[in-house]
Formats: sequence, C-alpha cells, structure tokens
Amino acid sequence: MRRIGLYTTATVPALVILSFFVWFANWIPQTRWEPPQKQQISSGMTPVQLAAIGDTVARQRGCLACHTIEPGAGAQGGGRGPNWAGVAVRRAQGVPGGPNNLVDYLVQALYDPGAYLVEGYANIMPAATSPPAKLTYEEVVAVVNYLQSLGGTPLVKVGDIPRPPGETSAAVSAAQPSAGNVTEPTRILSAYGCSACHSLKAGETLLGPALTASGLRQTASERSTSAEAYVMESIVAPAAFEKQGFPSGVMPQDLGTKLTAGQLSALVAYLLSSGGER
Amino acid sequence: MRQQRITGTPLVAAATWKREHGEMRNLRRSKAYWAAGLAALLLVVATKTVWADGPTPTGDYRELPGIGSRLGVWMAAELHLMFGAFVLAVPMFALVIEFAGARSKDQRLDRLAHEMARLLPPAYSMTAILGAVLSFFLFTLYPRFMGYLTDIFGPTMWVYPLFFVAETVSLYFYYYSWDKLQGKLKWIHLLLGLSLNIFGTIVMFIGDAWATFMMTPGGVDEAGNLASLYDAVWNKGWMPLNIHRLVANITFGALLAGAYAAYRFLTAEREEERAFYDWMGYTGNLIALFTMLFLPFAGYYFGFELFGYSATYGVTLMGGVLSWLFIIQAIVIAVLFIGAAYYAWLGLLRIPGSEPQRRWTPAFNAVLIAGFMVWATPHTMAASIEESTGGFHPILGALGVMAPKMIAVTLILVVLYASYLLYRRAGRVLTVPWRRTGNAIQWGALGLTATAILFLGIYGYFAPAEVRIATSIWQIVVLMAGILFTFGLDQFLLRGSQTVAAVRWGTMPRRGQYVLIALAFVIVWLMGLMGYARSGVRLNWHVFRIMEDTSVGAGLPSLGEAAVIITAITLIFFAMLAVSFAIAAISGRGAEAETEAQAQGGRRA
Repeated sequence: MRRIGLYTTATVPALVILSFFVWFANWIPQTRWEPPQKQQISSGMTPVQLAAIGDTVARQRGCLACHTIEPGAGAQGGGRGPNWAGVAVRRAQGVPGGPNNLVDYLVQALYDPGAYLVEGYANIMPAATSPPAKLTYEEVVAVVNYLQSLGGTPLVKVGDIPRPPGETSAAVSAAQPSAGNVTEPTRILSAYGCSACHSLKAGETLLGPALTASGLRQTASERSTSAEAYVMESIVAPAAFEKQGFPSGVMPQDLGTKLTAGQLSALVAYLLSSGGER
Repeated sequence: MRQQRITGTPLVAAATWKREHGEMRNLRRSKAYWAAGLAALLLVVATKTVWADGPTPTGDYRELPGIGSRLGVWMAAELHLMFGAFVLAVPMFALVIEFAGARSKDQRLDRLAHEMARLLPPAYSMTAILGAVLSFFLFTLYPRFMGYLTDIFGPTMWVYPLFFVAETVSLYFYYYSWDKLQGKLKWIHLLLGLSLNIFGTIVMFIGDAWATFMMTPGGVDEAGNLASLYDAVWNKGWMPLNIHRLVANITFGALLAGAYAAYRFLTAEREEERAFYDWMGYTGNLIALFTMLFLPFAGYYFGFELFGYSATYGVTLMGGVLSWLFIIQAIVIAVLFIGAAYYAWLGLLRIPGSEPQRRWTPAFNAVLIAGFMVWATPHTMAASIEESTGGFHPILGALGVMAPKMIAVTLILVVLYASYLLYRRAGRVLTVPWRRTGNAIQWGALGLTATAILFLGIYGYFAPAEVRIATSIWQIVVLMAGILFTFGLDQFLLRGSQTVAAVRWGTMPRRGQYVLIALAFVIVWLMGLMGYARSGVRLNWHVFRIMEDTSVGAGLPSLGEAAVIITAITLIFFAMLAVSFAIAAISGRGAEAETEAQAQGGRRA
C-alpha cells in the first residue's frame, strides 16, 4: 500500500502538467480540418455566382495561408505570396513578357505559377490544379472570377478559359472512345486535350501557340529544320524547343508514348496541310 | 477543405468529432474501450475480419468497430514507436556506459549499464507485440494503401524481418550473457552490444523509409509507379528523419531511464541503493540534456527538407491548420528544458559549498522563460485557415518569424550548457596558476558566443530568405564552436583541481525525483504530439500527391481533441511501461544482492 501511495504521489506532478497541456490545447481556437469537398458548379452559372464560389474555394483550399487581401498595399502585402487586393486593376494589361490581359494572366498564374513571379516572391506555389489545392477546371473558373472581382468585374463563364493541360472534361471524356483508337486528326486533337491549349485559328492564342500550318512552317524554317521534324519533335519532346511568350513546361511530356505511330503521322500531316488552317 | 469552429468542453468536442465521423457513438463508450486496452482491440478487429467480412475483399477500407480505423492505427502506431524508441535508445547509452566502465575498470558504471539493459527484454516484447498489432491493423483496415506500399517496398519488407531477428538475438544474448562475459571476455559482450545497436538502427532506418515515403515520395513517377527502389528509400525526408529520430530516441530513452531511477530512488530502503539510483537519475538527465542540445537543429533540418519538397508543408505547419500545434510544442519543450535545467540546479544541493553556482539560477531561468516566449510566438493569430488573411500580426509578427526564434533557441542552449559548466565547478577549487585568466577567457568566450548568435540573428532578420537560412546555420556553427572551445578549456582548468566537497549521492530532494518522472511523461506526450504533426501534415493523403485518403476517417481532429487522444496514448504507454519496469525490477532483485557490494565506494561522476 505504501508503494502504491508513493507511486501515486510521485505521478501527480506529471499528471498536473499533462492536464495543463490538454487544457491549453483546448483553450486555443479549435478547428477541424476535413478533406476538400468538390463544389457544385454548373455551366449555366453567372460570373457573379462563380465569383462567390471562388471566394469559398480560395479560402477552403488554403490560398490565403500565403496570399493576403490588403487593400491599398499594392502587390507586396505582408504574406508569403503577393497581395490579391486590387489584382484586377493592377494586372488589367497582364504582365510584361507574359499574357497581355487579366484573364490570361490569372489562368497562367493558376496553371503555371512559376511562369511569372511577382518581384520579391519565391517560386513556391504548386499549380492550383495539383495537390494539395487540386482545383477542378470549374473551380479554376470560379477562382478566376473571384480574383477578377477584387478590383474589377467578374466576366468569365465555364468554357471561356482553357482547361488545365492534360485534362478533358468528364462529359467529353465519357462521350468519346479510347484515345488510342482514334484515327481522325481532329478527334485526336480533342481526345488528347490539345484543343484545350492550342487553337487552330490563325491569330487566336490560348495557353499555347496557335497550330496553323503557316505558323508551324515559319517556326521550322527559323530553326532550320523540316516542318515535319519540327512538329513531330514538338509533340513527342515538347521541352526541346518552347516558343517564347508562352508558359514553360505545361505541355504533357508523355504524348510520344501515348500516341500510336499512325496517330502521330496523321496528326503531323493534318497540322501541316491546309486542312489544319481554318 | 472544410473546417469547423468548435465550441464546448474538450470532452464534448471530442465526442462530437467521433460521432460526426461515424467512428464512435459517444465518448463514454470510447473511454470504456480505452480502458479495455489493446488486447480487446485486437480481438475485435480479428472478429470483424474473420466473421464479418469473410473471405470476400471489401475494397479500399474496412472500419474498426468502436473507435474507428484512424484512431486504432493512430494509437497502435504511436505506442509501437514509443516502445521502439525506448529499445533503440537504451542499448546506445548502455553500451557507451559499459564501454566506459570496462576501460576505467569502474564496476559502478558496469552496474549502471546492466541496470539499464535490464529494462530491455520486457520492453522489447511490448515493442514486438505492438508492431504486430499495428501491422494487423494496417493490412486489414487499409488494404489498398498497404497493397501499394507493398508494391513499392516489397524487397525491404522481406529484408526487415531478417534484421529484426538479428536484433532480437543480439539483445537477448547481450542481456543474458552479461555476467558470463566479464573480464577477458568483456570485448565479446561489447561486440554483442554494438551489433544490437547496428541491427536496431537498421530496423529503424527501414521503417523510416516507409514513413517518409508517405510524406516525400521519391523514386516513383507522377502516377505512383515505381521507377527506383533506391530513390524510394532514400527519399528527401529519409535521412533527416533518421537523424532526428536517432537523437530524439536517446533523449527519450534517457528520460525514461531517469524516471525508472527516480521510482527506484523513492522506494529504496537502503542508503547505498538510494545513492546508486540518484546517480542513475543524474546520468539519465545529463544524457537527455546533452542530446537535447541537438534536437532543435535536427528538427529544423527535417523541416527544411520538407519545405524543400513542397512549400505546402511549410504553410500547413507554420501558417495553416497545424500552426497552433507549434505553439503547444514550444510550451511542451519549454517545460522539458526548464524541467531538466531545474533538476540540474537542484543537483547542486547535493554538493556542499555550491552557493556561488546556485546564485545564477534566477538569471538563467529568466533567459529560458523569455526564450520560450519568443519561440511560442506565432506569426499570425488566425483561428483557422479560412480566417487567415496571410499576413503577419502587427505586433507579434516580428517575433513570429524564423530569425528571432533561432536566436531564442540557440541562447536557450547556451544557458543550458552554462548550467552544466557551473555544475562541474561546484565543490571544486581550481588550482592551475592561470585559473583567473582561464576563467575570464572561458566565460568571455561563452559571452562572445551568445553575442555572435544574437548579431547573426538580427542580421538574418533583415536579410533575404536565402541569407537568413545561411545565418541560421552559422548560428549553429558558432554555438558548437563555443561549446567545444569552452569545454576543452574546462578540461584543462579542472586539471588537478581540489574536491572540497564530494557529491553526496542519495541526498537529492524528493522533488527532484518528481521532476524526473514528470519529464518522462512530458517527453512521451511531446513525442505523441510531434508524431501527430508529422502524420497530420499530409492532410488527406496516404502518400502525398500520389494516393489520396478517401476513408471516412480522412481529416484532422481539432488540436483539443488530438491532445485528449495523445494524453490517452501517453497514459496507456506508461501503464504498459510500468508492467515492463515491474518485470525488470523482479528480475533485478537477485542480481542486486550480488552487485551491491561492488557499488560501495563509488566515484564521483
């Protein structure tokens, strides 16, 4: 009995300390973290509705752990990332050497944050579509609208901006056969998501350069190579040459292993033919 | 990502969380389950697996009845790690102490090492049992995840048992051959101890590869397919965690051995016994204090690598959902450091004539408390990630960033080291002719060290991030250089010194023993907290960015709820450890009678 009493007495200070830890841990603000919930976003939503959802998405996915919303502070706020307040005004004309309008800039900043770094900030942000934020295309649209609303008016609707590299919408994917079985060039472009970033119309620039026969031949000529070799290289090894003014490293690197030889040949021929020029 | 503000008492909040996750109907029942213990859990999961599910695969997850899979794995993993840390650490300093005893022919050191090794066999059995429970839980409750991990690490999982068996054989031979392998055969015994340490470390390193792969996966492509097993093992977080665990395990094991000594001191009925366990407690605390000097840096190294892998980790830990956890951590470490220092200062009471050294303790205490206040200062005071605006607090922000925290931590370590230097001086009179100059140089060098650390920290505060990281490394270099220089000088200063008052072992006040016991509880609780942080920082990823956790238990409880669970784990651990210690005490009674005579005439540590 004496020993039990002794053990108890000797343990009391330890238990008091542990009780203090538990009390303190419960005294500070209490939050539970739960995994991201996909937002219900329909293609019929207005930009204003999307902006409201974008506000929620940005907060829930932890964007504001780094970015600040400090009115009047300019780009340099007090956070690890640039200040968001007034971004719509500040970047209305895009950024030097990059996209020349707000929406394209915001899309680039979300898909490829390292393509343009605001002065004074490190390249620490992962793509918004990658973990841990892991935004869907529709959520990206919502966040773009939200950012537009910070000093401007939200204007973007679902479908107005390109999808993330490599992603096709669920509806499109479900409606189409397996990409490996597609033989018709326009369907190959769609099945592999090329159309999300590349336009076939001359003068229309999405995330990547427009794919016009004349433009491709001109670039090939500037590089002193044949047009066929240039287009083929751009598909199977896009990192070998990247046109200036476009985000780097966005294009999937594995198309060479996914496309069949027949598809590759058909695609190259199509893009360099007049059929590719619209 | 959804976060909820929680109101109400901790117990109500914990119960609410369990209910909402469908893992626990109410807290009263959960308390009953905890009380039932791990054996009941094993029985329950076995029942569930065999009869409820039958031979049909049930997909990605199964649910552990009552407490839920997440909580079951959490408790089993943490308890296994705690016992694992203990059985890895104790052989390390047992071997060192035994080696020192063999070299100096000091039988008391050999007895101390043997006393520590006595704790190993029962604790090792607990480790193995808990490891089996953890494995059963993981493979039955998370089959898809474990299937993936097996695909990646299969070969290491085949090798692991071989080293585990080698460790087991070494351990039992090491302990049971202690008395036989004495004298000329001592070197064989030391080799056994060395092999025990090597095999144990390898076992830990293999387990660390699995754990860190979940945080910083390497050697796989974006889809998670294995490209290189070597890179999967040597992922970015592997070596930092290995180092961190090696150092932390020693601190952990030393403090637990100290607590064991404290209990034996309190229950001792003879003076000699009390003297021996007083000395054992002192040695445990000294080892813990020494290794604690390196822990913050090992932690920073691990943190740097995590941040280098993904800035998301830095944000989650320091500015996101887990940022408040580090305020709790700072307070817990403050209790640990100040407690260890307090025990060391109490130790001066054993030494008559130590008043000159004792007068420094209020000043040291003030520096320690101020240092920890800086360490505990968050850079934002947002209650949740949704409320955060990402900026720094206008007043606290200046103290919440890395530079002032590095100043605080390194100056705390200077003070702890200075306490040790003072302890060495107590009861001794220097006799070397250059003692005044030597003293001035020694304390001047320590002051210069502190000043340089302060200067580097202030410079780093105003410098860009990459410069700041460099200055923090220089702060560590300066600290280590200062310690090495002054300690080396101390050796010469104490050469030929007169001992005017021997240490009166066994006269430590009882409150000193209470401190040792409390420190053991605190380090266990801290280990539970940081284990939660390390695992929780992945958020809803089994393997970060590769395999998402889509189970009903995905998500994090509030810190209050986590603290309740960590405390429960701590208490269960001590209940199990008490059984181990009781077994060790029983096995030790016979040996004590034989070695008691040898304990006479102990020397000063």
